[in-house]
Amino acid sequence: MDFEFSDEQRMTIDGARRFAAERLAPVVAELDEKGEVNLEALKELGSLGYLGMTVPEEYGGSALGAVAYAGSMVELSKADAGTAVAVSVQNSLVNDAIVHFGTEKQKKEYLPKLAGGEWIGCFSLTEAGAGSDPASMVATAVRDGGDYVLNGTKNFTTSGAIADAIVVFVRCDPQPGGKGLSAFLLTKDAAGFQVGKHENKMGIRTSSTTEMVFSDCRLPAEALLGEEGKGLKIALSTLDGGRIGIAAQAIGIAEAALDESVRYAKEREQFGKPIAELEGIQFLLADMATDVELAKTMLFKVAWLKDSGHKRFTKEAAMLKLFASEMAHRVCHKAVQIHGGYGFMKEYKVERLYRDQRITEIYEGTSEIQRVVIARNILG
Amino acid sequence: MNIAVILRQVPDTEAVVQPDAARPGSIQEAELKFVLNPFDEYAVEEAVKITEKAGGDAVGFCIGPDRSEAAIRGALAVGLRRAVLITDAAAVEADVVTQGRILAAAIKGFAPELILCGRELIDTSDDAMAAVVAHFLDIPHVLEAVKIEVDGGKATVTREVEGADLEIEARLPVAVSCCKGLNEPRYPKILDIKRSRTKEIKRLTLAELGLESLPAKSRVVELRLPPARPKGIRVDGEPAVAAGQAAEWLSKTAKVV
Repeated sequence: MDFEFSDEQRMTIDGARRFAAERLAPVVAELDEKGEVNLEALKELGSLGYLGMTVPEEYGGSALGAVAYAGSMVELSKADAGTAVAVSVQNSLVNDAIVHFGTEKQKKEYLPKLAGGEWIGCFSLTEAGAGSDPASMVATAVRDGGDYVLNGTKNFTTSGAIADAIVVFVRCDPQPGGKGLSAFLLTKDAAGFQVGKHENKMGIRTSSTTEMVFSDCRLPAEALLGEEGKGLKIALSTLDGGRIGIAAQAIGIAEAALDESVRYAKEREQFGKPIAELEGIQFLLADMATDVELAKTMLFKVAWLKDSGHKRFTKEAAMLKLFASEMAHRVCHKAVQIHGGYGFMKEYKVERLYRDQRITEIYEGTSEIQRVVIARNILG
Repeated sequence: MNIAVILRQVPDTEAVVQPDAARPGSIQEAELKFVLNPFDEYAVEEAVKITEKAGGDAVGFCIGPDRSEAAIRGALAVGLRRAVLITDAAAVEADVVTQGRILAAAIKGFAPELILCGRELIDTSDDAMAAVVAHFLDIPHVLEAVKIEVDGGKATVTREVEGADLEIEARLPVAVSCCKGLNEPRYPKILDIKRSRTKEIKRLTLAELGLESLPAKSRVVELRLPPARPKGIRVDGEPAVAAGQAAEWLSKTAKVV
């Protein structure tokens, strides 16, 4: 057992920390207020290799693996959780789905552009009536000669407005249930596709979230990602890796809230002394630090499981995502409490962290779904 | 154009350093995070920028213990071609003049047209290295550059002085120390971080340089933390009353007025 990062991992994570401090942190408050994406920084992260961390080098990736990716995601999330979620979606959901299920032609066409940041990718699974239960989706793909014709509206798609490449899940078999789902890979210029409503969100406001509208969108059969009817399997196995990214995001948010709270507690004076000298505040800080440390340890364990390749990590990824997101909730709640009235004000960073944290308990599998996954795994 | 870049690994700027009781003059290293001296990053970036444009090799030269390799790898990841590391304890523990002499000897065979280093080491605050190396190589030096232009066998270096910019011309080769503002050090690309592993870090010994017995010019006898700052006092209340209390404290307790 070895808890040390390799030189490469450490340098990559240090690079993400410096980038976050210099390129993300100075503008995040303003972009959060406006609800705007930091597309320039996202593309720059791509040119440095942070958008292709699990893509093999032969397809233009930096291929450093899940541990370096998880550590980098924590650092980016500490500064700007909205930009970080776009990094997570690109690495964990879009790239990984293409790496594992794409044809050689799809890999060659899509991966170099995605891994280098020339293209931004999105993963369009959710529908208005199909959230935790993706098998109930109603968007369809109907075979027509050699083509498929897609119809329907997907929603809550992260990076929807800025995406060049789209992984979308639709129903090929009209019979209800998960067996009829298929995944398709297309570019934003496909006729019959357009970006729909832009969502105005509580948190991670520096990420784009939109509807994706398909109206007689005709795609050639080669746009199919993986086999027809295997869409649910592709979605679920890809989301296992996604949970590492979202857990890392939650941990980054929590660590930022902890750092802010430690600093504030030392500066803020009440009853004639810094509040850090009050045991009530010390206990909050001690619990926050313990929470963050435990989640981080589990993060790198699951990332290591993924890097080691042959092991299944569905249960561990679900435990990690569940614990890290609910941990971030506890930590951000305490961070606002330590800041008192100031924590409720937008001038203080913890106000944004509190809002940004909330979605981590919901997307890429709600806490309830993680518990279902864990229970199924331990009950057999 | 060949450029030598002098590198040093130092404790991270946010590290809390403590004197090591067992080794007088040294700090406790066990829990410390080390980084490339921040000012050296400007020297590295400048060397890489110039050689990208004009061709040639940018090579790092470092005195330090084995752990210095981590800082050197960082410089290799952003574009230095290779590096030379001298780890002899006698070199690592030497004073700045002696270290400058050792570096000059190591750099001499490479025959660079430009020697760059950071303007200051953030741990010891030594800022003389460019001048010392230049002295032993008998070449000119310019300290604290915010702009360097190399053309036609000479370097034009700009340094900031009180209220003005000073432009200095020097024939090549020249040693220049680099300041913040000279450039924006690039972020390493992950692929270049991976490839830095294949770049050479050559170990050179004092014996190979023919510098085995170097008498120290000076040595650090003790390292101690400054005394802790006493807690301030706060005078509350109406200004008319508080001012009186403050004045009384200043005259009777602090005895400064």
